Amino acid sequence: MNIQALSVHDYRNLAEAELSLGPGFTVLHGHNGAGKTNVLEALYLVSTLRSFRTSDLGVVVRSGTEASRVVVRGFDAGLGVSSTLEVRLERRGSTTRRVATADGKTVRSGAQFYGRVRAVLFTPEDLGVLRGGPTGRRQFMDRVLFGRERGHIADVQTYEKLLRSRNRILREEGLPAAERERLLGTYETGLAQTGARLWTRRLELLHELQARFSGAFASIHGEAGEQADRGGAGPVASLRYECKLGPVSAAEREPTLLQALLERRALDERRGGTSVGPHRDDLVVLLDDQPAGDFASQGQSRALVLAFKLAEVQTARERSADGTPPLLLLDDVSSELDPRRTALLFRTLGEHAGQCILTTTSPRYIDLPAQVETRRYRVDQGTITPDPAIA
Amino acid sequence: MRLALAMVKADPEYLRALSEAIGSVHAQLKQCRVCCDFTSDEVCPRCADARRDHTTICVVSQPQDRMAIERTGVFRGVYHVLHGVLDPLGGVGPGDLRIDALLARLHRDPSDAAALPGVEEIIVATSPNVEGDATALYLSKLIGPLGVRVSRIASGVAVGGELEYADVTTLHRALEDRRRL
Repeated sequence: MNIQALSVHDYRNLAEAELSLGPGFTVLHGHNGAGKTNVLEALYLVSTLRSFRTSDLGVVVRSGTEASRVVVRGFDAGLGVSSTLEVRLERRGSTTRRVATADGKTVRSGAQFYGRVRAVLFTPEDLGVLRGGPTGRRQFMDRVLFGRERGHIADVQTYEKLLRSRNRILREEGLPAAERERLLGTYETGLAQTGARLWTRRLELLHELQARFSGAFASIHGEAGEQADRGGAGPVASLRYECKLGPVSAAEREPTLLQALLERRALDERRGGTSVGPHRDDLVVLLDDQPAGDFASQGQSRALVLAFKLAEVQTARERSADGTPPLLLLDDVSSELDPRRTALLFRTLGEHAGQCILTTTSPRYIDLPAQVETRRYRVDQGTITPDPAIA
Repeated sequence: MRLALAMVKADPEYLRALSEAIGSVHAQLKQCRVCCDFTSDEVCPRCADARRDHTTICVVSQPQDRMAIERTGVFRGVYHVLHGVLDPLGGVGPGDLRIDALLARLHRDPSDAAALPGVEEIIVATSPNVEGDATALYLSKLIGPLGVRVSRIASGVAVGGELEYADVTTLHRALEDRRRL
């Protein structure tokens, strides 16, 4: 869905805010703490019914008020109709109720609401993913998959429950040997079935993103041109799924995982946890076939994460029925990038992204391509005003 | 509240009988010696019914599930109530379920001519969720080697429902458990 207008009521520091969004860029600028990210958070809420900053939605309700309201109006090109979506957060004591409505009708199931507005989000916290532990990178993949395949959330939850069950049995003392075998076998069978599905989906995701990701990195990072003068090409970025079990054909994944779980029982018992399966796999981002987390510069890291997001936007556009790309939400995207890199980034975004909402503290550095329609707003202490003055 | 108001209006004699009945629930209600379902006799009416097919046992987790299946009128075998499902995280292991009683039903003394015919099939009718699936799988690992066929009730798209509105997990399962026509 293309979003034409957003209105936010009593959301964090935003008492009342109205924004009209164009088909291209919308730039929100203002000081730190002015409320720019709150606008992105509100849009993300309409997409996912969640916040990317907190799991307690009660804290987003503006203090002194009982409820927040976020309303978006847009045009669904697939259905050829205009549509209004609203998410209300009602704070009652220690609990917060989410109410989602589509064109005035309450949507009871979250699964029926997700996907009406698809969004891809970048925040500065994403930069830690490259260098941090594998948990963050697995979440990185799984979050993309949540938006693509509705069955993925249920599979991840089932897998976690089976995993904790197996670990519990491994740690249990005094179980007769035959009983223990049977119980472990029971949970391993389930883990292998569900685990193979998670494994396969992640591999397919990376396979689909691969070419887009390499291309996006080359055009954002833009060393190709610079180094071409010296007769060389820039570093090549790629993605690799790392799994202890190595490359295994789709049909062999379930039996291979089952066999590995069986073989590792003694080892896992000593460790008190399950040592193989998609919960131990990793996404490795490579620059010229070397793991980028070890050596990538600040600028390269940023370009790699943004390239991943852009690849996500492009594949989501290709997969959507009507060719509408998802909304791209970029929080504080240009900090630490030099002006030339920033210009390259926005040129690439202009070519491949659709609607893009970005926040910045320094609007002068946002050098947007002239051919893409741009709207600018100034955010100051929770008030949003159109600001055509800055060019 | 509705219940309380109904009692206020009710005949005192009826209320006295009701309170006595409630008071004797624990004294009167036992578990069937064979299938562990709730009953007021030693053996429940279904296990005592010689016209039922005693070679097929439908395993359920709770008495309500037995009642639901019985209401269909399709199943003519006998039941076994586990009184729970496997849930290691909730502290429920095989020893907490009536599995021993189920195993006892599978062992038949060949010299006893009066005994019921041997069990040929166990149908596991636990709910299609993590715990129910694990319970079914566990039973198949336990009972399968004894030469008794273990099957699982099908799960998938609700009858009379619209395919379009079925959730992905259900559809996935319906496809996996498809049946040849």
